Amino acid sequence: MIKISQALYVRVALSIAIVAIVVTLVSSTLSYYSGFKEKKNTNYLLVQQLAQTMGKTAAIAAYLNDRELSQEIINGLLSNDLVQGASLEGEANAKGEMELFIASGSTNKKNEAVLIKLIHPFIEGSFIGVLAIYPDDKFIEQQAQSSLIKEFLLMLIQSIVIAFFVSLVVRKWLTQPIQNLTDSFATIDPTNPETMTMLEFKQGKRDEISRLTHGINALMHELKLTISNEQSLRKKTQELEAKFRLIFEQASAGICLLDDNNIITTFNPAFKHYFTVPGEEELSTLHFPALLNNVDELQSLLADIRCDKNPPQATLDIECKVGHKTIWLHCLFVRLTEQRETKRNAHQEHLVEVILHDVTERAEREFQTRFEADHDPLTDLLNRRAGEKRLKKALRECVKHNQHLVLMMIDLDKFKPINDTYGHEAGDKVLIEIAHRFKKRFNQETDICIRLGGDEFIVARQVNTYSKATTREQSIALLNELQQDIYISQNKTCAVGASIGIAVGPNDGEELLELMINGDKMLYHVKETGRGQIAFYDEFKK
Amino acid sequence: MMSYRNVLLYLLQPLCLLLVSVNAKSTEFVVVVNKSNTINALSKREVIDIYMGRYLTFPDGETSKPLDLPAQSALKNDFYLQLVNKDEQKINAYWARLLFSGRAKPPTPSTSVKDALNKIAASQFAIGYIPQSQVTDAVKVVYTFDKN
Repeated sequence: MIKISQALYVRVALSIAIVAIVVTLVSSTLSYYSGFKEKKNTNYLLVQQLAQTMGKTAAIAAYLNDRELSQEIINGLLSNDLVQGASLEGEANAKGEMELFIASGSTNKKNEAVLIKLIHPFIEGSFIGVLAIYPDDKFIEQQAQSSLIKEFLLMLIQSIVIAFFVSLVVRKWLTQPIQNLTDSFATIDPTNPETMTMLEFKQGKRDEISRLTHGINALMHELKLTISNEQSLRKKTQELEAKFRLIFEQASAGICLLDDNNIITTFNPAFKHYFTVPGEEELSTLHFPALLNNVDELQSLLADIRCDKNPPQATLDIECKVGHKTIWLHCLFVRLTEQRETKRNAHQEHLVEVILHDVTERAEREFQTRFEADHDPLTDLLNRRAGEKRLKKALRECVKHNQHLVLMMIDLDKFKPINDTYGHEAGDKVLIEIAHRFKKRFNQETDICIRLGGDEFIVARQVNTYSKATTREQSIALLNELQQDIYISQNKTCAVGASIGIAVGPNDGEELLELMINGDKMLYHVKETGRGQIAFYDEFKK
Repeated sequence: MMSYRNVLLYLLQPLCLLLVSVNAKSTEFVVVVNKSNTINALSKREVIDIYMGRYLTFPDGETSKPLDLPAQSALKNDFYLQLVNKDEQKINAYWARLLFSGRAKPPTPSTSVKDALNKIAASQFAIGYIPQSQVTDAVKVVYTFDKN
């Protein structure tokens, strides 16, 4: 393959030259054939005219059977370039002999010959012979060829000159400006807007390349602005993002996002820290409610918060077991609405943001405070205020559910002498031991044990079906246990007794006050009638 | 420069010719030979062939020696007009053309009709043309031009 320059002006010139040469060849060939034919016709006509001029003399020669004259005529004809051969023949006479036949040159192509009938010079309408002239085809051909070559060379020279000048013009008006444009365009680095300067172009020119340059400049100007804006914007965004990231990652509160299925999509290191024991890398589950203790409650809360009519925020303190530790987390649930997508998405996905922080300490303190408020500090039994509240509630429930509340009013016997003899510390020890015995015998969750004050206690139990016999057994057993010795120091023991008055609600009083008074009545009744006994209010009534 | 006289001459020339030709038509020629010649009659074609130099003999093979009347005479002109429909000038041009190459020779000129008659009477091979009015017994008429 010949290496052809990639330059446009060379290619344009080459293609023009090639086309010109092809056209020249074709047109020359065509003109050769048509010219050849035309020339042949012209020559034929010329030969015919020649024959016509010689006709008269030839006729005379034929008339006279004059060989010399005939030969002269033939020679004269042959001296012409156009003539290849000629013959003159006279008419056959009566005997059938041809009296005259003169021929010279090549006379074999009878069909191409120009034949002139020779007319009798003196008698009109009488023929006396034929003059035949053979045109020289070779000569004609040579002439046609030489004119063809001349024509071809001329056209070739013309084509080459045109191609050369076209290439010059293309180079000057097209290639050079494009090259300049390309060169100045090459200096531009799209990644660096500073290089996006105006491309050079000649002022005042309105040709296509100038217009293109103009357009590129305008485009580049816009692009530069856009890119600069974009870059500064991106910088700002990055800064902002870094800040947000810092906030998100460095926050002491755990932050996570929940999708529609309460699956955690994003969480920060603090969040992970809350829910993993040290050494563990992954969260145990990504289903958020499952991470916490009360799954069902959480799920209904999350469903509520997603509902548009509910307030978009909710808080909840949740207990959570991580490893062996139980922690309290204060959770803030916020319904997020993606503002950008509101118009686009008919089905709106409500993300929920959860912000949680460890409130174990506070919760424990609160718990402690509440406990202290509700309980007697010495015995850890409910105090009077909290106890009455519990009792009221229990009695209401019993009335409602057709249950019974067995209320035992308990007063210790012989407690005051211990206090007086051994001191308050010993008294406190006795009270603590008594409370301990209550706790052992009764369930602290379902039963209600109250220290009313001093050595007065209430123990109440909610039962579905009341059996007096069982109650009696239980109370006697309690009484017996309370009478057991109590160690007040390493080797000192003492014993107290107890009196129990029993009232059963709602039979013995639908109101707590009434019930308590009735119980109290029975207690005093026992105290008056000899202590260390139990007494039922219903029996006393009778 | 063409003078007035010349112009007049040019204009008159065709007119003169016309007059001559009208005159010629009136002249009736006969072709005559020696009495001893065996030919008794010739066709017009044969007369032409002899006079225009095609044959140098009579049809029977005898040599022929044609005689012309004096050059530039009305008679000679008339004769050729009647014979081949060409005037004397054309006949002269014809012979001039054949002067260098041809073997044909123009008829021998005679000084007058009388001279011609004498020559025919004297030569067995001679042939000539004379106006019909001047035919004598010394010659034999072989061809008479049609009046038509």
